[in-house]
Amino acid sequence: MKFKTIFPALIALIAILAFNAGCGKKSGSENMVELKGGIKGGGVFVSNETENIRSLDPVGINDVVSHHVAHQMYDLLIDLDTNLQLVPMLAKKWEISPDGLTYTFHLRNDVTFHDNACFPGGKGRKMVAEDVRYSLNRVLDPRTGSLGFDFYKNYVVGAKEFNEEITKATSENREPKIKDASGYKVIDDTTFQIMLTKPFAPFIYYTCLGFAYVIPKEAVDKYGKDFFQNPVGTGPFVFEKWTPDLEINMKKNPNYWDRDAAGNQIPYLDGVKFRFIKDLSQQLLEFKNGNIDDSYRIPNELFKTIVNEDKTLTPEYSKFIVQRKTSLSTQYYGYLVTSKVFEDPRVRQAFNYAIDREKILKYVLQGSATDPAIYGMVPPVMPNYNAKKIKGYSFDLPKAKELMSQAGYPDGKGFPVVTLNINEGGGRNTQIAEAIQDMLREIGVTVKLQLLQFAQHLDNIDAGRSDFYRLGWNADYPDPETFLNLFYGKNVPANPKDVSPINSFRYKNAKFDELFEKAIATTDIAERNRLYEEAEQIAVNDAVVLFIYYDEDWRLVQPYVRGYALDPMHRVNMRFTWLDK
Amino acid sequence: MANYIIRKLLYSILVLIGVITVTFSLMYVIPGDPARLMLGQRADIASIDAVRKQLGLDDPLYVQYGRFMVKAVQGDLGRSYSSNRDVLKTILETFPATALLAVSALIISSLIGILIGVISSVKPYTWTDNLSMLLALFGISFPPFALGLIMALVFGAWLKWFPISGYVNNGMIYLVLPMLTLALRPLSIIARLTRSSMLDVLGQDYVRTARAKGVSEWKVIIKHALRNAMNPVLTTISAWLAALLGGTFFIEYIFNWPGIGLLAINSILSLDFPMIQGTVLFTAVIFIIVNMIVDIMYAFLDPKVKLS
Repeated sequence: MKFKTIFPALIALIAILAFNAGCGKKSGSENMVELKGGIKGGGVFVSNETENIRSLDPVGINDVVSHHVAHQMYDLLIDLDTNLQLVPMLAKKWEISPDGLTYTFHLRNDVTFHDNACFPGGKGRKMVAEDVRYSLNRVLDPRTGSLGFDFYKNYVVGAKEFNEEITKATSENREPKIKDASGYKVIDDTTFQIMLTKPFAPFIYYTCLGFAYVIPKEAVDKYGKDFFQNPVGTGPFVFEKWTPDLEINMKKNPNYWDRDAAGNQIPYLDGVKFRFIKDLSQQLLEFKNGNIDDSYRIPNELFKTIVNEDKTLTPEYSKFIVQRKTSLSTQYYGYLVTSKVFEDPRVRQAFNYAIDREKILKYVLQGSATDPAIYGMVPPVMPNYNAKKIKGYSFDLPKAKELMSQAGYPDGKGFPVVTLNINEGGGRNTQIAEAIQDMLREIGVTVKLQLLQFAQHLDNIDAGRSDFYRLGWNADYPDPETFLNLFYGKNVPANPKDVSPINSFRYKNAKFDELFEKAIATTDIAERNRLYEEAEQIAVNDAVVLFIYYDEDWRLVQPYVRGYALDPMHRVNMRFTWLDK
Repeated sequence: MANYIIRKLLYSILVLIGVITVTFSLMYVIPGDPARLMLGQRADIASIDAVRKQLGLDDPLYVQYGRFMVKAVQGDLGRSYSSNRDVLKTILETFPATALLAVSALIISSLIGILIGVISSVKPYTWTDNLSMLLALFGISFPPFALGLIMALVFGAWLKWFPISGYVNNGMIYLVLPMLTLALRPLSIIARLTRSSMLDVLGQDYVRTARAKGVSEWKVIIKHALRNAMNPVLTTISAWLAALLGGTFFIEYIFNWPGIGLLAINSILSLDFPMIQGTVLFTAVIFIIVNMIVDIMYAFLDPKVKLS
C-alpha cells in the first residue's frame, strides 16, 4: 500500500463513522400519543447535571443535584409549587395547632409504591402513615448515615433522645431501649402527626426537604446499605439504572396517583434521563446538538454570544426557549466582625457604600444577574416577605469616604491592607473581586486577593482565619429564617477559638436575637415576617456583610419542551412536563 | 526463574505499601474537612463532629492508617464519602470503560504507528518519510488535553461528526473522539520507533542476503525485517498499556468518559478521600501487575534479563 493512499482511506473510514453518528443522538420524534387538552404523552426528557449526585436514599439527600433526581422518584407530604407556595402531595391537607406544637397531616389513601422485587410478587403496596413515620424516623437514626439529623434534632419531640440512645447502644453493642422518636405519631393509616418541642414556624418547610421523602421499609430491608442505589418510592418515575458519572435512567410509573385538570394520567413522559456532563460549555454544546433538552446556567464567557442586551436570545440561539428567574440566593462578602479591621461598623458600612453594584452587574456579570443587593440578605423574591422594605446600601462614594474619616481613616490613611479570600469559581468570583478591589481603592483601601480551593476556604472561614471572604447563600426553603439564621448570635461559640460554621461573621446583637427568636416562634405569617423585617434591618444597619447581588438563574430549553418552569429555588419537577414533538 | 519471579513479586509488594502510605498521608495534608463538605454550609459543630466520628476521622492517624491497611489487604476500600458507593465495586464498574478506551486506542496506535513506521523506513528521507515523521513529532509534542479540546471543537461542535460526551451504551460512535485523541501520542512514538528500528534491521547482512536470494521485497520487509525490528516496539506498546489502563484523566474528563480517570477527578473535587485512595491504589496495582508481566515475559524471551 502506498503512503498516499493511507490518509484518504483513513478519512473515508472517519466519514463512514461520521455518517452513522446519528445513532447516538436522540431521535427527532419518539412515539408520542395525543392526550386530552392538546397535550402529548411519551418521549424521554434528557436533562443534565454539572455535578454528581450524592445519594438516592432520602437520608443522604442534602445537595441540590440529588434532590433534582430524587424528586422524580419520590413524593413528599407537602411540595412547593413554582411560586414556592405549599401545595398538597401525599398529604391532602394539614393543620397546625394554635400553639404551633402539633402538625397533623391527612394522607391520601390511593398511593402505592413502585412495583419492585422488595414486595411480595413484585407488586408495590399501598402507602400508609406508618411509612411516613418510618421514613422520617430514619433521618434521626445515626445508623443510616443520615445527613439530616441536624435539621430536626432541636424541634421534633424525642429526636435527640432517640439519636443519642442509638449511638450509645451501637457503641455498647446492645439493643437500643428507644426504638423511635416519640414526636412522630401514627394516628391511623391516613393520619400522621408531628409533635414539636417548641414552636418553630419554618418547620412546615422541613417536610419539603429531600430528607422527608417517603419510602417503604421493605426496600431498605432488602437492599440494606445499597438502598441508595436501588431507590423505591411513590413518585411519577421508577428508577431503572444509575451509571455513576454518566447517567441515571427512569421510566414512567404507570400507577402514579396524580391526574391533571383534564383527567390525564401523570406523568406524560415515558421516561427521564439525567446525564452528568460536568463542564458548562460542553453541556451547552450537547444542548445545541439536540442531545439534551435543557441547559441550566449560561457560561459567563459565552453570555454575550447567547443573550442580547434586551435579554432575548441572539439569532444563533433564537430557536430555543430562554427561562430566567431571580433566585433565592444572595452573593456577599462576609466580615469577621470580631477582627480588628472590621470591628467598627462604620468601616463595614463604608465598604458597602463604596461599591457600585450596578457596574458590577453590567460590566462584570454582563447582565447575567440584574438585581443588585441594595436591600438586605433576604432576596426580594422571597415569597410572602417584603424584602424591599429593608433599607440597604446603594453606591455613595462621598458617604463612604465620610464614614472612613469618622472611623479614623481619612482617605484610608492608616487603614491596614485587607486580604479578601475568594474561592475558585469559573473565573466569575475573581472578576468580581477585582472590580471590588478597584472600587475600594477609591476610599483609600488596598485589598489583596487570595484565591483558595473551596474546602480550604470554608475551613478558614469557620475557624475565624478569614477577616474578609466571599460566600453565597442559597435558601434551603422559602422562609427568611434560612438567611437570617446566619446572623443569630446563639450560633456563635463562646470560645473564640472554636469553629463557627453557621454564623461565621461571629456577629452578636441581643436585639436581633430577641426579634429572631420571636419570629421563628410565630405561626401567623404576617406577624412573623414583620418581626423578621425588624430583625433584618438591625443586621443590615450593622453591615455584617458586604452585599453584592441577588443571583439570577438562566436556563435554555429545547423549543418543544412544555410544562417545565424554572422556580427561584431551581427545584426540578417533571410531573407535568411534556414534549410537543 | 522462580527466584526471579519471587524477587519481582516482593519488590511489587514493597512498591504497593509505599503507594498506600503516600496516598494515605497525602489525604491528610490536603486542607478541608470532608464532614463539613458532606453536611453543607448550614451544619452546626455537633453534627459535623458526629459525622467525623461516624467516618472514623476523629481517630488518631496511626489508627486510621492501620485500619486502612488491614481493610485494603482484605479488598475493602470502604465507601465513598460523597456517594456512599462501595469504592472497590465502583472502581471495578468503571474499569471496563477505561480498559475499552485504552485497549482500542492502543490497537489503533499500534496498527497505524507500525504501518507508518514501516512505510517511512522503506522510503527513508523522501517526502512521505519527512511528512510522516513531522506529523509524528507533532503528535508527540502536542499535549493530549489540548488536542482533546480541539478535536471536540472541530469534529464535535463545528462539523458535528461525532458526539463529544458520553459512552458506548449510546453507540460505538461515542468511542471515536476520545480514542483518537488518546491514540495520537503512542501512535507517533510507535511510528518513530518502528522507523528507526526498521532502518537498523534493513541494513543488516541477513536482509541483504535475503534480497540477493531473490526473496520478494514484501516478504523481506514483513518476514525478515519487521519481525526482528519489533522487540523495542513491543516493549513500548506494553509500557503504554500500563499507562493507559491507569486512567487517562484529562481525556476522560474532556469527553465525560465514565472511567477511572473521571472518577478520580470527581473524587478529588469533592474531597472524597476513600475514592481518591481507591483510584490511586487501583491504578498502582494495574501498573505493577502489567509491568511485572512484561518483566517476566522478557525473562522468558531473553535469558540475559534474568542475570541482570
